Amino acid sequence: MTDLAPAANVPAYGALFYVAAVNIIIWAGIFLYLVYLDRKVRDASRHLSSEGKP
Amino acid sequence: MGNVRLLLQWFLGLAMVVIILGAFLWARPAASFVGQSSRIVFFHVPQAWVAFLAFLVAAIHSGLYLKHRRIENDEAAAGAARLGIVFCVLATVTGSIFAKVMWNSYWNWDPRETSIVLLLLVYGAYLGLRGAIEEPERKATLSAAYALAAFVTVPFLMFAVPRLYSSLHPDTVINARGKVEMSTDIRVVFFSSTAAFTALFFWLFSLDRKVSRIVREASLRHEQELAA
Repeated sequence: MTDLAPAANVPAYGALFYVAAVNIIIWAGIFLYLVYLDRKVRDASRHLSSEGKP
Repeated sequence: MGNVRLLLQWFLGLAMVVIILGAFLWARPAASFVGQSSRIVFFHVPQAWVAFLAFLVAAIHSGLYLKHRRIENDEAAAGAARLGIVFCVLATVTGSIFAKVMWNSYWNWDPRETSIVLLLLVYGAYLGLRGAIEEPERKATLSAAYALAAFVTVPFLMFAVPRLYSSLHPDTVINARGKVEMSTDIRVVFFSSTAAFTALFFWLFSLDRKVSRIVREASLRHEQELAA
């Protein structure tokens, strides 16, 4: 006979912790990409303006 | 200057992590909301605020373009409007998830939901207009005039309509009595999140402006090379 009862009694904050962790991982990914993009754009901008100088 | 900028970026990164932790694990759920649904307010309202701010910035740069005829202002207006649409879509999606939890339906044609759709259509048309005109100066002038006219609808659609008609939507941040009625924990996380989203918008906006400048200079150089 299959036991359909939950294996463990997960406290309510367990789900919230999970959602917070997922959000932090998503944010960390976006943040690191933004830092990378910011550096790339700054370098390109510097490169372009130094090329334009006589 | 570069180090200060990097420091501010990392401060924003860490602040957002703390805000997410605070939003889910510290602030208590608001009493009049179903279950934990009030926690979405920490992200949904700042996104809507940033959409408003972005449309305001687009209108300011459009006005500046019409006054000074500088192409940088036109690029800035377009960038701000694009970001405004992104944040407007995010606010719509998070609002829709909230609606499912609160009212058991993703979409209810509530005044607030209807007005955000109209806002997306108004600014979608702005991008459509920009895409339809080839000649840069004509594009910039018509877009600037349209963006200024479009912004007239923003306060009406975002602030007036939801207050004029009865709505399923919860009270606005500054409620009808002119007060911010939030408990201290909710208030701290909410206003920190609003500040962080505002900083995120200005970071994205400055990136967009730099990219636009690089593209403009590169295409100018390409044209000069072709002419030589």
